[in-house]
Amino acid sequence: MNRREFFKRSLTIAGSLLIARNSNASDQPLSVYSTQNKANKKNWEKFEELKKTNSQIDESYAVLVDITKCIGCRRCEWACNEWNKNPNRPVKEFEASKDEKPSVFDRVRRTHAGEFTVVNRFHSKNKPVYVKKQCMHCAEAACLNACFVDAFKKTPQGAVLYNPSLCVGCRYCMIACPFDIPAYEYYNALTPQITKCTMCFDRVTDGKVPACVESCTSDALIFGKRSEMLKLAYNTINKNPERYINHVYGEHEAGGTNWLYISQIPFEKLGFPELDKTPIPAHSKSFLFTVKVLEVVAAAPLVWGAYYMISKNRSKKEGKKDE
Amino acid sequence: MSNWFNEKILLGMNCREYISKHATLLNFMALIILCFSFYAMAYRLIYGLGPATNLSDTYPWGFWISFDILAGIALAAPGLTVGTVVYLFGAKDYKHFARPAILSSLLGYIFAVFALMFDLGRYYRVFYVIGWSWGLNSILFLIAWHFFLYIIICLIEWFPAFFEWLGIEKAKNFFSKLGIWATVFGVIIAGGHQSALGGLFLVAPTKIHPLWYSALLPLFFLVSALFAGISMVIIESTISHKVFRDQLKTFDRADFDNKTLGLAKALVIILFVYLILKVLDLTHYNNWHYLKSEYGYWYLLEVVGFVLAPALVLINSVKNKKVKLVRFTTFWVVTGVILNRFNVSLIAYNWYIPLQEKYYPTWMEIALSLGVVTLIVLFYRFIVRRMSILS
Amino acid sequence: MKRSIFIIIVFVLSGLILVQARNIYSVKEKPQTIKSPANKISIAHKEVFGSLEYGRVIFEHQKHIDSLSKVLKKSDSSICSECHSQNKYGDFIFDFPKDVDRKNPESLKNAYHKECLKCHQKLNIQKQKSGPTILSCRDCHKKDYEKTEIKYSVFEFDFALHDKHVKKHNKDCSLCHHIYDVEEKNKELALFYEKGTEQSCHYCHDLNQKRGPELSKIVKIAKERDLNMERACHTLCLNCHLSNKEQGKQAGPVVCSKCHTEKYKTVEDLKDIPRPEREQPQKAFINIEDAKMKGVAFDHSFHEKNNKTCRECHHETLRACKDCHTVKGDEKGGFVNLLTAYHSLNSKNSCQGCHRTAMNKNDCYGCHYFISPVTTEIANKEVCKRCHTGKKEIEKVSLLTIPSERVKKAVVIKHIEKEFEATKMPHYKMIQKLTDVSNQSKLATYFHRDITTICRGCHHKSKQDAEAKKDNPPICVSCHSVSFDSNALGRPRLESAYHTMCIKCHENMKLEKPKKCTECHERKKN
Repeated sequence: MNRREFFKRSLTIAGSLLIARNSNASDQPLSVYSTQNKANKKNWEKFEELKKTNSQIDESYAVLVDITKCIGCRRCEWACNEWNKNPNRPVKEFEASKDEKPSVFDRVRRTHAGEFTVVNRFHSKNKPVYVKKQCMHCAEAACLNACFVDAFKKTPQGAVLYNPSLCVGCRYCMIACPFDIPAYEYYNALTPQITKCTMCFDRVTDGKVPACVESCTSDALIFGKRSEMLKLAYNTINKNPERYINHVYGEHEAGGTNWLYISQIPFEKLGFPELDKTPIPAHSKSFLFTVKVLEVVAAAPLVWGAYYMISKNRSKKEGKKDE
Repeated sequence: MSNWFNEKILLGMNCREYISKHATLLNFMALIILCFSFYAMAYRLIYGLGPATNLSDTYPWGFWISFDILAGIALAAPGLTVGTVVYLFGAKDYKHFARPAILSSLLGYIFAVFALMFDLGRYYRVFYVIGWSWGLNSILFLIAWHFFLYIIICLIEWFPAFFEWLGIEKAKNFFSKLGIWATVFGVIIAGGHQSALGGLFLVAPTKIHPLWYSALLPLFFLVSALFAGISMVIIESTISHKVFRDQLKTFDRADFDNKTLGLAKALVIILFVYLILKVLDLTHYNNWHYLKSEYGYWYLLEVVGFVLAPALVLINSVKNKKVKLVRFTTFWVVTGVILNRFNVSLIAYNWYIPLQEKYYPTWMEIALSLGVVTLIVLFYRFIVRRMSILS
Repeated sequence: MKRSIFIIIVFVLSGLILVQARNIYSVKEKPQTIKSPANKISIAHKEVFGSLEYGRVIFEHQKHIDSLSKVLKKSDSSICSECHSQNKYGDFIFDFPKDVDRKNPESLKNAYHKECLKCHQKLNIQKQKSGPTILSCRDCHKKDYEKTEIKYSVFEFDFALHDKHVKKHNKDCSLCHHIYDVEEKNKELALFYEKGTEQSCHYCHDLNQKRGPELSKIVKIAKERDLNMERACHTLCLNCHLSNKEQGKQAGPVVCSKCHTEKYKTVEDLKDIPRPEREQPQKAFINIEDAKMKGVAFDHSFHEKNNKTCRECHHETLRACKDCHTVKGDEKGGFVNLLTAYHSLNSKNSCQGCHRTAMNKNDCYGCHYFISPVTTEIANKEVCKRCHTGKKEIEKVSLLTIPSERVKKAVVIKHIEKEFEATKMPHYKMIQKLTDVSNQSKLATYFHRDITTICRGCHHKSKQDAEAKKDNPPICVSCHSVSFDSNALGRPRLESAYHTMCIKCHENMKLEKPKKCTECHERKKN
């Protein structure tokens, strides 16, 4: 998008706001209005391409986030925007927000159409705690199972990818995601799509690490094989048991995720949902099974009943005729 | 041709007569609603969901899904309930109610899907789910297919009246014979997707308030759709017997009232089944302590105020044969079902976020939905006046 | 008529909906806790009643004493018997009401109502000022009280107070200390004093703690008699104070707020207070005869001064560790063997566990965040020898000194020059600070024998074989590459390595600076 086009588009949006919009849209960040992201499509195409080559991956990758180490520089956000060609600003502005007042950190943010990852600030004993938020890449993803046109896929590398060329735009994946990750291009009237973090599938398959991990300035993000990351997580906890709670978030949550977190304070205080080991799709699977059984099993007696009724009617009519 | 048109469409009047006859205040109001509604539709199509609605990444589903789909489909259940009773269990006494019930289901479903088109981001791809790419694990997939099949079934059930109107005897007889089979499958399909609508929210265990979230959600939706369906039959028959009095050749008031009471009895039973299930659910999840919270009061209002209270009133009115009170109470029950759908999908959804971040609809969202309701009413009237639905 | 009923119902319903909708989002008030109440007592007995029908009563204890002593024209201390019962020795049992089954909610409730009102009414008849006399619940169970909660802070009988009592009573320990003989059949004689057995009240009266086989027999009896810390201490302290007061002697406090001050003394404050004498050794030589390791010289008096109570180490009795924890471990020591008792890293009472928590405090944690303590499993000979010297005398160690000629004054970091100004790291100053920290602590001085120990705080890999041979410790960039190294995914980049090391150390040592990014590196102006 060049500057002129951008100007034009923002004018359109502003214009439509004046006509029909109520107040709270104007203070929403620019990323809400972002449209036509190419990253999801690009990653999907790469995935399709790789499927043909039939490459073997023995184990999925994971990113370990050490919340105690994050310093809130937001360079991961910048790097993510840069790599995925999302609307971006100079990295200076990202870094400055840590000390600014007012700052973007004042509000707990979520991902949006033009923003695949956000860093939020929480407080524990008056000390800031920064928590990066992005797609968790669940082993059994809720979005994947929710999609009624099968537009999501879990890759062997661990990433959950989205295929915009199938999506109908029902936004059921957004309802299903327990982490509130998939975002939608609400400001695209004709070809809106879901956008979300791709775990930099295109980079990972080229032997690189995700953009955010590469840009992390404080060693808070570590990329590697999932089993190794789990080991590292428990090692870190055991080394300083006073400074960590004995819990790796994502090891079992919702059936396990490919992003793991360790923290010094309980995760529910950092905006993480309290999930048990059940994968989210498991909640609906038993129902689907029941419906199938009922429809197949119940269909037979109902059809029989109908047949019985018809034949009874007929015999009555015939009886009448006979009289 | 124009003769046929005048005869069939304009009820034997010419254009001018027809228009002047219909220039009533109510029709004028309907026209105004439709104007706003069409503006909203156009605006949504041109500018997209963002400017037209208050939907956001936190609230991907808003008023349209709650009202048009969840509440709308529940209220379009008469076809399911009455169809079953009349055609399958041979309760011929209620045959009067069957054709209007099926018509209202047909219109309800068609317009629910019509309204859904505005909610879907890429409405032009909606057929993908039927024949292009199947998400077999999705409950929404189940619903989409069931909608598709159910509309076909309703059409088959409605075709006898339609072909009678057109005067094609052969087709009428053919579809009359098909009718019973259509009803059988209709019951299975309708039962399946009414519960599946509740099943949609099974995937959000952390996001829906524990009082509303339950593994029994599908069953709750099915049972409440049943009583919503019966209530709608009573409401429709009440209204249409008032409005379309001239259409009825023989109208036996006492008989009609008796049947209404009969339906009310069935309604009471289902209401109590629902209540028992709710108590079971509360106990199973050990959620009683939540009742003390603010959400608990709201839950109690829904369950006690809109299920238990009307059920008690119904018992009383059936005993004392107060038909008018029955009719009023059915409105009450229907309001309760609509409230329940809004609760599950909007109010109890994202229950932990503060009030100022909660979703509320824009005027355009409401106008579009109102327009769709108006269209249903207009089409219903259009068809009832021309085809033998009521008699 | 019917239409109006319909309209009314609609109005009521919509009103209900509106009210409920408002309720959903309103926040409920939590009771406010008063931390230092002026001798007020909250009467709720939740342990008996569960949730209360009428809310708690907040009882003004001082007010009642004042007005009672005015009416009865008696001294403060002699009117206690008006409300509280006495045992046969004349000691008060500070329960109210007297003689009532305290486990039965109904009788407790009736007793309260009867006793309170009886007194109020009596005064009322005498035309005296009295409390509420008519049976209106909200007179006493006031609505306001539901919003306030009363909580007295825990009182600590520290060594300073102990010392005061010792001096006052001429070392007559029998006034407070006693032991209980479980074997004694005659319960009258079971409780007695024996010289040399004085221990903390907690051992028998802290009913929340889990105890070993020996002590739990006594704790069980204490539990049966409902003698938890609160009741045991109140009975003991208050009765003594009261009788002193009665006799006109100098007496300790008898009102709640005088003891429950919420002020606690630190180890620093107690430094010069003499510890209780119980024939404990000044210096000990811990030597287990059938153990493999050599003995350890132990400075008991030093450790006494560095702890607030004896219980920090002697968690169950004042005996030596090896009396309960045998080499193999058995039931008596809770199946904790002697090795674990001394070396467990996770126990608060073991040597290593305590030393480790010391490492996790303040200044030490700068380095020891990265350097974990050595566990017994992987320790080498050199490390074990630090303690297990086999000599009765504690080793003398010298303080650390910095070899100034070998240490760089400052290090300039400029690999992020493209975006930021270079950072000047005051290398010498940092070492100086760390050395001072080490030298100030006796624990650190004992274990840090060499200045290279300090170096290893940052140059953490210098002990690796390849690096150890070199003359200089490795610098950060030797291992941490500037850009991301895909061959070592788990190894932080140079920038990350600096940030982690610097920030974590500053954070853990609770240093004020730097708070902002720019305090280390200015952004380049372009």
